[in-house]
Amino acid sequence: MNQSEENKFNKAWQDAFKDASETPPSSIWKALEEHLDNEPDKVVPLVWWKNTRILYVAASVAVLLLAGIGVWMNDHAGKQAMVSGNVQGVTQEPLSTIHDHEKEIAVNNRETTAANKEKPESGTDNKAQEAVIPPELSRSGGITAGRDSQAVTDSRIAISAVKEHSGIKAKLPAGFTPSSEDAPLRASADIPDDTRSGYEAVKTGQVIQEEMTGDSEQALMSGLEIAFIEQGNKPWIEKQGRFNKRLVFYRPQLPQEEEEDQKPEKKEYYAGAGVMPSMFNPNVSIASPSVGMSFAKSSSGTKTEVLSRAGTSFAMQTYGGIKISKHWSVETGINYLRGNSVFESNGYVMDVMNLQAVNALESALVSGNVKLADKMPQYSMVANGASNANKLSTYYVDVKKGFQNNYSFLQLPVQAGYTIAPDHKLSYTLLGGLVGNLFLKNELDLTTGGTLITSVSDGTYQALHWSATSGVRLNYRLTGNWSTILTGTYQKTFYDAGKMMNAVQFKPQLFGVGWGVRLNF
Amino acid sequence: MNGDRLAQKQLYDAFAGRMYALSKRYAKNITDAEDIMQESFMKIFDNIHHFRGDSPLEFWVRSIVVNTAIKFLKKQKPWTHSGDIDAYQNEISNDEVSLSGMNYGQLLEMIKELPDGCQTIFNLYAIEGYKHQEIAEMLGVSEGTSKSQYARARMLLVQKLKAEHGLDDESVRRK
Repeated sequence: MNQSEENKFNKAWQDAFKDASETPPSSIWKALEEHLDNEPDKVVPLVWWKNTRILYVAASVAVLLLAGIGVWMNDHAGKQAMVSGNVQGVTQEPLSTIHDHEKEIAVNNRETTAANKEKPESGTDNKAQEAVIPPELSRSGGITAGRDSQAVTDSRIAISAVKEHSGIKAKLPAGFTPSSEDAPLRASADIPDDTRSGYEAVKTGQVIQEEMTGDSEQALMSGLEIAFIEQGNKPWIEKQGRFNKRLVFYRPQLPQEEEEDQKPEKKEYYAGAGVMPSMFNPNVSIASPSVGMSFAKSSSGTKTEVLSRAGTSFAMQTYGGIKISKHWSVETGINYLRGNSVFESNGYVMDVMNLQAVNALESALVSGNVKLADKMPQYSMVANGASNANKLSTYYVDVKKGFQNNYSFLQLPVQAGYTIAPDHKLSYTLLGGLVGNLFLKNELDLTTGGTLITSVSDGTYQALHWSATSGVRLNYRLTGNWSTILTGTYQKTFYDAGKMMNAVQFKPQLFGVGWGVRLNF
Repeated sequence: MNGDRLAQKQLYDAFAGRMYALSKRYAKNITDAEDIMQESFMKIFDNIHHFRGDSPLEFWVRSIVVNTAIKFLKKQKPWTHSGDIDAYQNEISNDEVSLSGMNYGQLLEMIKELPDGCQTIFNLYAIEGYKHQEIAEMLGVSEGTSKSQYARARMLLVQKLKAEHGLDDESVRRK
């Protein structure tokens, strides 16, 4: 059997089944009704709770918010305490609707039956009559559907679909009637002709409706609905007249399965981890030198100059995000930042009686801060020396020297991204957002040796400060889900994140280039 | 489902006849056909709001019934490779086989008597018009399996038709 014969063979089978219709047992509709009655109402607004990934993201955001509020509250209370401390320092649907519908169906069915009984002379055969959808049903369907919004939507879609189908029917040639050529098998075999002639049914249906109701609009509507019922036959019959090649009788869209299962629209999530070498600069400046430092400086006639130099730092980063559109995404994460820097000063104060010395930053930090003063007794000695009557024991040593000044933060970035060429193997993402910096500790090398470690509880730095962040990320897709990324980031705090009442200004900034991997799922 | 029962009934009445015939063509027995019908229409009612109107409604309804039938039959895993296609091709001589004289019921019975895999693939390829590649994707089989099952189905149907008509019948004539 060659290809041509195979096509003929297939076409013969297509012809044999193209109009096939069998009356299904009434038990199917009864079972469907029962199933529909027992189907619980879907609560649409809570559907998203079924998605565990969204649940995780929501839970994470909630935790972050709670943590943020807690830290803010703590910070706010601490600030008030600090203010008072400094002042001292200066001085020293529904089932009922369904029942309504059922009642209307019953009423309408009775009306329809009565109408049919009254019009037996319409001349249509039984099958054609079966094909007619009573206009009352159509009309009441519209009215009933208007009672709730969901029903309105469903009904409108169904009715518009019906109309659209009718539109297809309407495109048939005006004088078209099925001939024996259109259904050779029917003409020669005993195949039951359920539909009889769809076109005749349409015409007959319109006549019946007009006679029954005298309402032309209604008749048109029911005519359209009949056409909708019968529409399947005609375009295929038309097509088959022109078919020379293999007939494609029916080819639905392949991705239909997705619609059937009513799966929620798939969201794309991603998570990643990486490390970011960076340059961190705390931008520490001394706005208000301590008493001892002021005296020593003035007595030496030297202007104190301080400078913060960025040091090699790093951040360990983890993050997760969601793509909200083809190009846009939002992400958050948790980073650990170790920010190293050098505080440089052109001199320090030394008390020769006690052989103790403090630099400008130490002096400014400890001045008026009882907790830190306890940690650094040398400051008290120098300050006392400077306040002595003869002031001979305190000197300003004019030597430029740098001291390690390192910070640790837990960072909580929240940023939006816009990805260019998201479908390509190499794509670019522009990032922007905010970073919440939770202060962990500061380690400052002291002039006389040792390290001054300050934490949140010392009240030197704000527990949480916010930085603006922007960056560019290069995404290179390795496999289906895995990517490697290179991110350039700049972070800047635009306000004083210190708690020293302007004694020390702290406005950190960071620039880094990080490498990491990312998994899309 | 909060849908309007009346609209659902209209939709059901409009398509039930043709979809029931379709279900019977895929199913092995009446019970299976009824199950396919019921499951299909539940999906149709649940998803009617997803119908975008970019294709005729009947295509959409039909696709759901076909997919439901495939899902139903997939549980039986009948779609295995059924041998050498050439062997089946050789079995089919260059006879032109006509379906004339056969009624709908007889033809339906012939299809239902095909082995499981043959039945589904013959329905999809010969009657629905899918390509072998598409069938392979739908059923999760190789393209070769689809081709061999179709060839086997065609061979079996030709044999049945010949048997029905008799070799000397005019409807089976040597080219």
